[in-house]
Amino acid sequence: MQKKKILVVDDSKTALFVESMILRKGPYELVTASDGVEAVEKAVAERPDLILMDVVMPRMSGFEACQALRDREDTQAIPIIMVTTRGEAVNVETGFASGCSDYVTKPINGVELLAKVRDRLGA
Amino acid sequence: MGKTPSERGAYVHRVREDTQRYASELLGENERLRAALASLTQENAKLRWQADHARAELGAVGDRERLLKEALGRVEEENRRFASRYVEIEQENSDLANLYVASYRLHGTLDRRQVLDAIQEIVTNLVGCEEIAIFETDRNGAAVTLVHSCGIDPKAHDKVHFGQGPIGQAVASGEAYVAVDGAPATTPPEAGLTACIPLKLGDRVTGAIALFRLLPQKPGLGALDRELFELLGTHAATALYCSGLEARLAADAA
Repeated sequence: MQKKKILVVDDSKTALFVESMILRKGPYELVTASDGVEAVEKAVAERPDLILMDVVMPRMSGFEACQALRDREDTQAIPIIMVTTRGEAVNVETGFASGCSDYVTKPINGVELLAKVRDRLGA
Repeated sequence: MGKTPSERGAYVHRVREDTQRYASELLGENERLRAALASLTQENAKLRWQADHARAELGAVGDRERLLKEALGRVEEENRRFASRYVEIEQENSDLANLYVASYRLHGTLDRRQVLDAIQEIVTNLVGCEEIAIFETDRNGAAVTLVHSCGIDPKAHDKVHFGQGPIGQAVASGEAYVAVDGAPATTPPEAGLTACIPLKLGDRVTGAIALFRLLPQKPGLGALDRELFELLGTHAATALYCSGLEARLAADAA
């Protein structure tokens, strides 16, 4: 069975590391990026099945990267889960307005993260 | 007109024959009815046997159904237990991953700046707090000085004397301070303080990490947070100490 590909985007090495450790237990191939610009480049090149996107990042925020991916025909259908420290309603609404499919809040809960990923990928 | 004796005799003879034929027909009919009755009785007995057999089979099927339902109930209960245990194990794995990542990040560098960033990232991403102050003990060992902060006013916390407020008491006693029931302190300058973890090398307190307000979606501190505090208390102290040594060695070499 071909592994589903997930692009994990976060400027925090700690967050990137812990998300990768949690997801590596599943049948997933992981690709990482450390800011919004790199996320768009990797999404175009790698065509992942799902993107986990941090919000506050240098060069391009998660919201901006999400919008950029939605504006492109070749990446607009990729589901994006925002991983945010800001769980307030206004931030969640901004995320959905920029085109994200779902969100999880930090601190990262492995069980919740895996459940959302499985829900989106069906695996 | 009277009948002649010969006519009367013929009449009697005919009546007798008719009576005999009638009696014979009745006997035949009676015999058929007897045979039909015997057949019906036999059929009835057969049907009774079949009904009894069907009832017995139905009872056996009912017993089997009850046994199967009981077995199904046991399997469902076991499934629920497995599912619940699976979630517990996933949570344990996730918690262990957090502790491993925290330790790995703290000891993954000898650069002081990166160690301080790693502590901040651990507190933000794994504990859920973006208001943090990191202190180191002064040379005279009577106070701690702020060396890194995020999300707070650094001027309000530039130096804390041992025994002064919850932070000072935590570094003086070497015991972590955790706000009662997770409710942050409300008195300045420690307003919003949720926890203070003394950094220790052996029994020597080398500094502290103070956590102020937690992220809004974080309901309070849990068991994993306390394990992370224990890990930070020793591993962050070691990482900061080693990065300080490295810096001094580099300065000496230069």
